[in-house]
Amino acid sequence: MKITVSSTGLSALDRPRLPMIALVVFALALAVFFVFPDRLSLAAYIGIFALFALSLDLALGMAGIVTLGHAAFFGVGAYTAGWLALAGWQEPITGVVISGLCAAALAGALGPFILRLTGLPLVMVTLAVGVFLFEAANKLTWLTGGDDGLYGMTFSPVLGIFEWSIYGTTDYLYVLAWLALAFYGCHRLTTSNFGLALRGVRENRLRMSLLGSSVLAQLTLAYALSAFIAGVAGALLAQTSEFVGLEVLSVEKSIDVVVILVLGGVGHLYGALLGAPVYLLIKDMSKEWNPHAWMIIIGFMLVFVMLVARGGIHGVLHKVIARSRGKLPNGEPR
Amino acid sequence: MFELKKKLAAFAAVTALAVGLPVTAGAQDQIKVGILSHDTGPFAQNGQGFHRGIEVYQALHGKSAGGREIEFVYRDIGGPNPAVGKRLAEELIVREKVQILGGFALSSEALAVGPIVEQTKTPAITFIASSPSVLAGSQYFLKSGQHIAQSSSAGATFARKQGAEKCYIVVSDYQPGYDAQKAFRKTFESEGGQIVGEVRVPLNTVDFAAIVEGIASTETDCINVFVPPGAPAIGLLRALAERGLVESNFVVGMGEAEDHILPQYDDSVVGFKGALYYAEALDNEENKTFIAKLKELYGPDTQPDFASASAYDGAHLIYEMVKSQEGKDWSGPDAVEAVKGLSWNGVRGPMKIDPETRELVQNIYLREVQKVDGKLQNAIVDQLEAVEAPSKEWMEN
Amino acid sequence: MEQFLASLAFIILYGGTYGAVLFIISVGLVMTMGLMRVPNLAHGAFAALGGYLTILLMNQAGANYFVAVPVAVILVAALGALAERTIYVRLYNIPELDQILLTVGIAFIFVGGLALTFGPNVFTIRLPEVLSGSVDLFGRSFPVYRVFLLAVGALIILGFWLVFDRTTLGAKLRAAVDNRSMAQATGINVERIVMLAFAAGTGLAALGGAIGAGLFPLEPLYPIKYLTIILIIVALSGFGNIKSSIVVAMVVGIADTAARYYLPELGGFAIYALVIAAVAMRPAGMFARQG
Repeated sequence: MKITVSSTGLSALDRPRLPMIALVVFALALAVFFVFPDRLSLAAYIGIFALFALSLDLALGMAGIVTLGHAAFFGVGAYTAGWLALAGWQEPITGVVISGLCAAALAGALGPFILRLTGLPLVMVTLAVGVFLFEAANKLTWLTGGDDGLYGMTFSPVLGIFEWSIYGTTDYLYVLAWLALAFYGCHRLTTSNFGLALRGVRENRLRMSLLGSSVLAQLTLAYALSAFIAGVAGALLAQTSEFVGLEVLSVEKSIDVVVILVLGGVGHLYGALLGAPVYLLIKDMSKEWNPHAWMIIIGFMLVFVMLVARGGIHGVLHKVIARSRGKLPNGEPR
Repeated sequence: MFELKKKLAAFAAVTALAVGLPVTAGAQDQIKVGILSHDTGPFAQNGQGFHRGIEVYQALHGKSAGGREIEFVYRDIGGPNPAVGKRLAEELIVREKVQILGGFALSSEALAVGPIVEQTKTPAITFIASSPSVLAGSQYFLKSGQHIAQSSSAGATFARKQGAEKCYIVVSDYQPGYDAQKAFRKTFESEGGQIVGEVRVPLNTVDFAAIVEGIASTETDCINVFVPPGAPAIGLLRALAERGLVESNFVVGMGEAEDHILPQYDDSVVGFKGALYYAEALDNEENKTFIAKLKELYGPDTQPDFASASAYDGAHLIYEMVKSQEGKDWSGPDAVEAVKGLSWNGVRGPMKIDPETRELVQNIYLREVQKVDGKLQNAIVDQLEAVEAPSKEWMEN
Repeated sequence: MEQFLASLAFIILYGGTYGAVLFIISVGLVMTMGLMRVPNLAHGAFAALGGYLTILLMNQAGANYFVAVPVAVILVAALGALAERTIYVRLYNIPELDQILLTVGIAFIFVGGLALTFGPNVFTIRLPEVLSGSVDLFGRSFPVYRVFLLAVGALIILGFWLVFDRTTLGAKLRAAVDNRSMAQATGINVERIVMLAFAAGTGLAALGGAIGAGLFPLEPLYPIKYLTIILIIVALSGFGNIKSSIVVAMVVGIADTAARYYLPELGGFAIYALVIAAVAMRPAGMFARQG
């Protein structure tokens, strides 16, 4: 079965500059800091998931790797950050980088084996690898704390200045900084030659390999880069919550992040920035109304996005903006 | 560079001010209690118990104590997700300005929230979380559930009292299972019994026939089980019963066969025993009033379980803490100090907070599933009085 | 030795019954994957619905088990046909990721709906007197319920054989699985066949959910909880390969049961290790002609 990923947006060639939407989103994110000072814990949590979804967009949106096991890298990042702190390495920024590298190393090791696959077999193997790691973490209680989790860690202030507190001020700005950095990096990547080659692989793997492109090596590199960012997101969760639970490796996390990305829009980077707040805020707010409602609402949203609003929130926004300017993307007739 | 560092520090200080200072509570006339619950996901049954236990307590004892109104605010964690638990705890303290936390179905949630409880000096009552390390998370943690070894060890003692010699232990393959396994084994062996086999069942097990086949091929007169309530408990008990082992062995577990789950079993479960700190059949005033009100509020078919009983007794502890601060400025640490050593009659019978360890001293009951008038129910067949939680050293060696 | 052989025999019997339920629940998805290439992740939701409807019919309408189960199966099959005509028909030409997400969305709606309607409790279905005893087998007792599961599984296999190899409908179905556009070109009404196949597939899932409730207790999260094991059967079977799905379900059932008996500590891993190895080596299915 051939894999295709929805690509209703523009090609990379059309977007050399940093998209306006991204600037607007980050401006809004900064405004949150001043407007909702008592909701910064939630905001930081959303930022972490935006970062996680961004990492998935590299793998799924750019390289076309359909995976249901991305939590593996998120989890490895989180546990690495936790172990580092418990071992006495409490400096957070280097901790994040090391955690990301560990996740990338795992992806680099797995990639050559599993990225040969496509379609349902690929989905199944990524899922199975994810479950395998979860089960292993559950059993290795001396290492992970098992079901009780990894606890008792503390981190030094960020840059030696910003103290952590329950108000989440430091947490939020710290997460936001990482998110902006990662977003900028990903943006540069998508407009690079490597990004173009990946898009080529996504659209037609056979043609790219006939063109002499070493597809597997490119996919593995993209997978490792994606895992690095996922590991960073996991490490940020560990640092902001001073705790690592088994759930960081769960299948539910893997499904969550795919849903977030798809709601936001696949393949445009800022789909991740839009999807995370929408998904998590709906979850948070609908639960106050009726705890079971959110599953139903998210379910209907997925069906709606897939049948009517292809391209997710980003796709819809894009169409609205284009229409107001009197033209439609990709030169579609009105 | 140095200049920049100074500026940044100043900025950090300013933002901290902008966001608000730690909760300073005066002699206000309201106390808010944040309950970390599960309304959705695999532990929703416990969450339902939390809501009901607290609501019944409020219906019976009013909504204020010690001159202060008490308001409960609930948050749904929605599954095994301690990071979300911690986030919600922060929100409850920062946004809702709660002065007390409660709930905690899972030990991992309590362990994740521990640092906040310690930092903000917020008293927190764990209703179910029973890992030996829960209370070590903060000096402001108290319990209305149990230490897992209280029931596990009591199960072993009951088995020995009934003359069991050779016991097989089957637990779910996760941390609480390991704790339960260890406590049962230590007690059973120290009281002269012999453990003839132990198995940890993977959590994703659907069909327990193979596990039970392994037990049946061993010579036993006693089987100790510990699996999470719900599908695993039902699966294991059915498989044991199908193989005729419930009939031929002293099968003792913990909360696997709560009364409201019994309709999911057929008669083969008759004879299954559970060692736990609560039983619906308990014949005391508090419990009778509790059950009567529960049925009045939620319908005549409603049955209590350890979750709703723990929430009820937990609510009592919260009310006692609030009463202790009557006429004074609210102080979390003082409230915790005031209830250390407190003893009272809960729905589970006499209970006491050990002032040294903050663990509960309570009775453990041996319940047995019996068929009365065509209906399955748990009857109390034995009890151990004033059971203390074991020391940290005992659990570790 | 005798003890060992007896245990082995029982492991195969128990594993076989577990495999039979896995087969009944999964075969519909294997079939529809072959026909429509839609990885329907909401398949487990139809199984759960079959179980819950059976409970509803037994408790509310007082129906007998042997009446309630077929009625529930027919209702779910009808719903399946309706869903195919209204929703699934729109999925055939969209990218695979979108199909996955849309069907996950449907599964979410079911999970929320079941939790709202039936509450968070776990349900099993009370078996009728006839099925609750046990029979003597090699001097040991073996539950009648499990004999019943094996018998139903065998009946369904027989039914598939009859329909596929003995009727024109079966021939058309096979043609449509092998090459859809070619079948269309020869005048076969593929749309109707797809609808019938989808209805049959969801109906079988409902049957598995209802009679398998003794092994897979019903709970709101059922559609997601058992998704992995269902997908494992489908991925190992290959698309549309019903014969291999019988073997795969049995192998998975017996291997899983045996692993839990002989190596309980590692039993949770065995199945995933098997999947990773099998799929990596034979991505098109364990018994597919590898091209």
